Amino acid sequence: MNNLIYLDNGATTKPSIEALEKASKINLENYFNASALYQKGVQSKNLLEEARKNISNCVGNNFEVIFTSCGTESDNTAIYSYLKRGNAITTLGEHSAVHNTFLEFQKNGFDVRFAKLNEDGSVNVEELLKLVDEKTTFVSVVHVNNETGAINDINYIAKRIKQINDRVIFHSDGVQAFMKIPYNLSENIDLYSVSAHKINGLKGVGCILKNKNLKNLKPLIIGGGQEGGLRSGTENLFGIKVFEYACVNHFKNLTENYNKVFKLKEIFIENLDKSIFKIISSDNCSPYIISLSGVGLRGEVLMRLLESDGVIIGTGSACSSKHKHSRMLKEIGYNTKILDGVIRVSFSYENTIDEVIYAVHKLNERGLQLKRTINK
Amino acid sequence: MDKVIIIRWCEIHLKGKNRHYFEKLLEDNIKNALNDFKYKFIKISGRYLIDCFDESLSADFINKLKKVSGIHTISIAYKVKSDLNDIMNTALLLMKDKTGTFKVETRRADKKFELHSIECSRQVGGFVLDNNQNLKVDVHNPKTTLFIDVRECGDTLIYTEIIKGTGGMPIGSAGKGLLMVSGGIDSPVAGYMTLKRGMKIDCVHFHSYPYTGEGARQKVVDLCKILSEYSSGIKLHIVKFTEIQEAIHEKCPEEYMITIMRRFMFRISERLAKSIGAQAIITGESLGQVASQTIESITSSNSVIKSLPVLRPVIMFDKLEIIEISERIGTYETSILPYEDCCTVFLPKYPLIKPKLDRVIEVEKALNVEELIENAMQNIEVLSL
Repeated sequence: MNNLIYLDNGATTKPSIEALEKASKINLENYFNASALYQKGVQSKNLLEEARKNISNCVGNNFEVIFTSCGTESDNTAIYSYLKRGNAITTLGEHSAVHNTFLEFQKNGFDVRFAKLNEDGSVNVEELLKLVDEKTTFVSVVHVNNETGAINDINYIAKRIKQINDRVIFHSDGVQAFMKIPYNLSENIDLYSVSAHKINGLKGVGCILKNKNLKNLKPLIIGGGQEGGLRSGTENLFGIKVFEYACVNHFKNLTENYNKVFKLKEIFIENLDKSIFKIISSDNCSPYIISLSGVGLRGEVLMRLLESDGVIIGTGSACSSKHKHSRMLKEIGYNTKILDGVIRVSFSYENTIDEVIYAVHKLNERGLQLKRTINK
Repeated sequence: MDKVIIIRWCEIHLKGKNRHYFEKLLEDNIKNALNDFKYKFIKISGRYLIDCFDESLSADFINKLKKVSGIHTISIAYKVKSDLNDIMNTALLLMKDKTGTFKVETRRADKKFELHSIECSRQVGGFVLDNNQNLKVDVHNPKTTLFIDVRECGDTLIYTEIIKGTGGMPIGSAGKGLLMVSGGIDSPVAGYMTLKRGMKIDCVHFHSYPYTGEGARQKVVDLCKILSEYSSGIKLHIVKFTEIQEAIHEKCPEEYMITIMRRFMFRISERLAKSIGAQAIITGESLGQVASQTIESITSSNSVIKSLPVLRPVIMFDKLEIIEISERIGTYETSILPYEDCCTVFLPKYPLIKPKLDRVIEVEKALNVEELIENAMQNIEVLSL
């Protein structure tokens, strides 16, 4: 294997060459400001609206697309808009963009409640529902957990919540789910965060999918009034077009890609040396993400060893003194020996079976080597 | 109006017949530090002057000079003709925004100047007083002192500010040492204090990829880069320490890991020092701060050194005192970046606090010390910073 085997697609993905090429003329030909009133500006605006329409078509017509700079901004916009009164609920399995924003509100005295997780990282639905009451105004539940790939049935959860209190605004961070696992967003979903660079788009682009019936979404960023006043700032047209083309491509091949990646996960798990590694993700998790642990080993050391073999994986465990263990996995109750050795493998539809086989064998090899060294 | 930078030294004056050697070193180091600038370098008795420079760059000059060891103080002075009116007007310019108490101190080297020092101080002082209502004279404990230096050549230098330099001795005047850098707070401070006393340094760092990562390595590179601003460049030797750590982990009891690791580090440092012409090893050890820095631990690691002195500039400093220097020299923020310099895999739960030397030597016999050191010496990466 001469080329890099990239298995940290949960962190970011390689931009699609086709999408880049298709959008390339934007930079030097259609660089005009989409808010300008002269014809060239209107042309840019048309390209922007074309992107909006095509992405919207992939989602279903009940949702409006509001472009942002990233998933984190989308999460922040949703939370800042609606955490005004009563209480808000989220889970212990959120990405830090949601988790830390909620913590910030909690620090300032807002009643924020965190629902416990199941062992695979999915939210314990009954525990979550117990936290909802008549004063609840906002709930955020991640669709696919970014560490373990656990899938939360957000349509079901949103429905149950609104049965208890129909005024609750329901938001979901869909960054790891969008165009990866097959689903439709139900009418009970009010806001949904998406990130372009997780689906072979560019970094610096994301969007909020806003339920057409939702009122009172407030902008986080105020200025020239772009995106219907909901997100000011000159639009990143090039980034948005790449997002559009990548999204449409994914939508077209969603099922095929899903099946392919499902197979990759199967092969990986089949060949994994389970005497060295414990698998944290369950079978019900998104096949795109596998969380595992070299029990008693060190995640970051494994990552470096694999890097020297030409394989890139993610870690959920850092040797740095500030962020040692995964906050989320610690919450679930995994012990130190497991937490120390956490790594994350995340696929893209572009990974091949050969790559996965090579990677898992190298992982077994390095895991054994490290185990022998540590245990003398 | 012309400005001039006055550079003063202190301890060099004590050097008697060897003064010239130290002054020459200082002059060379100053010129090195100011390499990128255009200026004229003037030697006068007991001081240097920087003249004919772009005054908009004054702050840049001062920043560079403040890092040259051997410089005691620096002043930016106005230069005028030695004419009483010019002197008075310039003095007023300097004092116009000042408030509180002041005094004037005149030094007169030019015997042709019409006034004695005291008379000059009185007249200039009076003029300033008349034209600035917010000032009062206090010759004992003034808030501001206005210095007037009437030089032999017909110019007068006028200034109020005395900026502290690094102090110490010019680099090159105290030989060369090898500093062991861990990436923590203490070793860069020890390095700075060594440079301040005039000893050039190379640095050595022990890296254990894959147990320690890029972050830890980059941190050390960044720290040495900061230190190199106080010198004219520094060489960093990065030793691949992985094999040694693994061997100690495999063959020696867990609680001896740190103790024996440090013995290896000292052995390698001594060999490296010899090969680069360094005459001392320098560490950031501070007594009792951690288990590896009790007197017993220091004795254990020190005992492998055969032929060089080990200098420990901060051995008796409190942590807070070390942090204070670290912040002052600009290494603190980098030092506290959270990249571990030793993987937890190797850290013993209960490291030895008071290792007994004969027991350590006994335990170490399980290792092929010479071979491990040889291999490490073959695996050194050198960076010029």
